[in-house]
Amino acid sequence: MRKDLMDILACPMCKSELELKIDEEEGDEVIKGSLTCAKCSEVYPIDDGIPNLLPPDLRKAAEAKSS
Amino acid sequence: MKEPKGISRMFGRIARRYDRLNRIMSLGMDGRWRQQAAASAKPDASLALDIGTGTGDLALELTKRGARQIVGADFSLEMLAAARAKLAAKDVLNASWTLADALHLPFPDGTFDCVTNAFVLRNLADLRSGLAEMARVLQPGGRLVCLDMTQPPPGIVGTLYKLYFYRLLPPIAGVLSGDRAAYRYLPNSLVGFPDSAALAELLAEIGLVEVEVRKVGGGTVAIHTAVKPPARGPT
Repeated sequence: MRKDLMDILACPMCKSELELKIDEEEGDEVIKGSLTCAKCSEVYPIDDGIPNLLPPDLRKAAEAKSS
Repeated sequence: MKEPKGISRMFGRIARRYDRLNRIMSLGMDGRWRQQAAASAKPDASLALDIGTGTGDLALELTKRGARQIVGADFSLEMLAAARAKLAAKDVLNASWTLADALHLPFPDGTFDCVTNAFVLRNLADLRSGLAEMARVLQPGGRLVCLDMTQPPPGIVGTLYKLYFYRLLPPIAGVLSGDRAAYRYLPNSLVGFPDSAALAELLAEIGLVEVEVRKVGGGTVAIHTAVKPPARGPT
């Protein structure tokens, strides 16, 4: 995920700002990390450079299926 | 009501062969339609969002036509991985990708200069909410472009098209994709989908203006464009 994407990302549920936490990066790309909504406390993962900003119920259903 | 999780899995399964099938199913015309849709978005120097970006074909067209930055959103990780690889292979550096649901877009109000979608609307669980969400993230004055199949015209073209789309296509696409269920879904997704006039009306109902419809593919595919009205004083 390009770091400048933070300028326009928001929580998919409450549309509030997100806080970026970087676990792994390459230049301007975030490879692994998370995006936390300060308002609703939901944590959205970034894996393999792609943020998962699906609503929590859709994300959890996908995780349950792949694990 | 369409079930989003099932549809997401279906697109994940067919991602690898999706491009080739699109060429075959549209008789080679889908590339041209995407070019026309991209041009309708007037993407020069824009911040653009392509919803249901799939393997990134329309996103790529938008960058070719001068988009300053393109964000591709999809709810299938497999599709996004394919899109990212495709645009990276063409040295497109101004593209970003995110998993997102069209009904819950992860962007603030008034973010984008243009919002596009190709062959997406039929798959939305709630068409009106999806369109309203796209309008929400548009800047005042921004353009929404929707490319999708539409109800075929009456007469011989419509009759032949229905034969092709409902009878011939599903088994052929099923064999070529190795996924018969996915391509049985395709014609069903058009059942109950509004015709082009009704879709234009819906775009006006959610508050968009300058709604225009352009038919391509012998009248079987429609490109709808609409503009978010400029802001007028405090609301």
